[in-house]
Amino acid sequence: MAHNHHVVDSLPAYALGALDADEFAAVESHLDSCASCRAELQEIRYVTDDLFMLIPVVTPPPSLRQKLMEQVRRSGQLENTPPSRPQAVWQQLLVVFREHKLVAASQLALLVLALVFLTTTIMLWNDASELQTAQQQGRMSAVRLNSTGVIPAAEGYLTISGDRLSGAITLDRVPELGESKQYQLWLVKDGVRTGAALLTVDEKGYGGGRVHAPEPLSHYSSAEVTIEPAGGSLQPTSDVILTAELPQE
Amino acid sequence: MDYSQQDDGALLELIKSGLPSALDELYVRYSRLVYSIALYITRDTVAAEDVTLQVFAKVWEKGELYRSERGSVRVWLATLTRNHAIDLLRRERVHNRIEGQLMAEASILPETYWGKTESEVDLRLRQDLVRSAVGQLTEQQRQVLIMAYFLGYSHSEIANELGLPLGTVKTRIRSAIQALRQLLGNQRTV
Repeated sequence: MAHNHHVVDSLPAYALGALDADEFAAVESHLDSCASCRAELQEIRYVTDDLFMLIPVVTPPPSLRQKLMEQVRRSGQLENTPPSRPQAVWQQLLVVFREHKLVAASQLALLVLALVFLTTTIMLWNDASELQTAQQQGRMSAVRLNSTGVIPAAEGYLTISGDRLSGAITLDRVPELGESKQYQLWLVKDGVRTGAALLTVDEKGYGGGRVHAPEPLSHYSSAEVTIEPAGGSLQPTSDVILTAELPQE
Repeated sequence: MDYSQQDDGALLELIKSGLPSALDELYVRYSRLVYSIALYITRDTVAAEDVTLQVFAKVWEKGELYRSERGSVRVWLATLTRNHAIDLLRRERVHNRIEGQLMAEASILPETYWGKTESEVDLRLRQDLVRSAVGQLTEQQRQVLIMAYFLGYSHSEIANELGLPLGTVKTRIRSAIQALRQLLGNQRTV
């Protein structure tokens, strides 16, 4: 297998997924530390990535699209909510405003939250300057994540579904991190932190993702965001850049 | 909301933020790709539907796994589909039933094209090149390539199946890929 201690000879089979388990593990290990073999693998993938083009095109049955959307709705976040549910409106408006650059980033949060108020009538402003919305039993809520000062301009929002089982997080005005690091959301309960989302932001410092937590979000007292190695950490390894107290039932 | 002007990367960001309508748009763009690969590998319409649902469900749940530096969304979806379909094949152990059929089809693939984007012309040209290049491989090279890529056979499984020494199988795979590299050059698919 080795070629000057490299794994070049095994890379074609590796790219095709044809190595046996022990050899696969050896190649993976070598690739972690060998830029030369990684570059060679990239060249091979220029070829293997295109092999799907050999397959004749077949159109799936129309019913499959409906099945997919029903499956998505059953997956939790959309359960028992109509197509025009408040969360979708909130998120879609956010996208529209970002795409068309109708407002500056600092004004965007104010406008979006005002629209949430108008369209759902469930958001209660605790403080006009604080922009933190209160939540009511059974209604969606949005919580502002405040900068701790590590990245002064950083902003974020955590939206929580009406049943408190699902959520989504959006970050803005934070640095793009490159391949080796990601933002990680932590939910805190009794001092124990649980990783709940990994986020990558674009060159404008904007990004978002779904929140995955083992318990309803109302069981957690606060949320924190840190910068962690790509793929996430078991516990925070850097300073908190955003934080928020979470509404309790 | 109309997402038709969004590129694939932007669409994935919207999916990650929890917008089902963005997933629906991605499905419209790539369901033929995903379903076709799944059907080709599994040879079963019910299994192909299951794999298609699994792939788009994974995009919905784990969209953050996509890395743009690794390749296009199209290639990522093709790879996801292939992996899911091969996992299914392995679970059901239907290699023997479909192997001969797949290998026979490798040389008589119809003229069909992927893609519905502004880069469609580039994609069609690339597809013609790939078909032509695979057609220029020897029968032995094409055989091991298809067994490995489309059926998920390992080195040793191919050797056992064909009654060949393991070293011969390795050599054939290497020579097949090397030949394709020379024929296709290094232009990345769009």
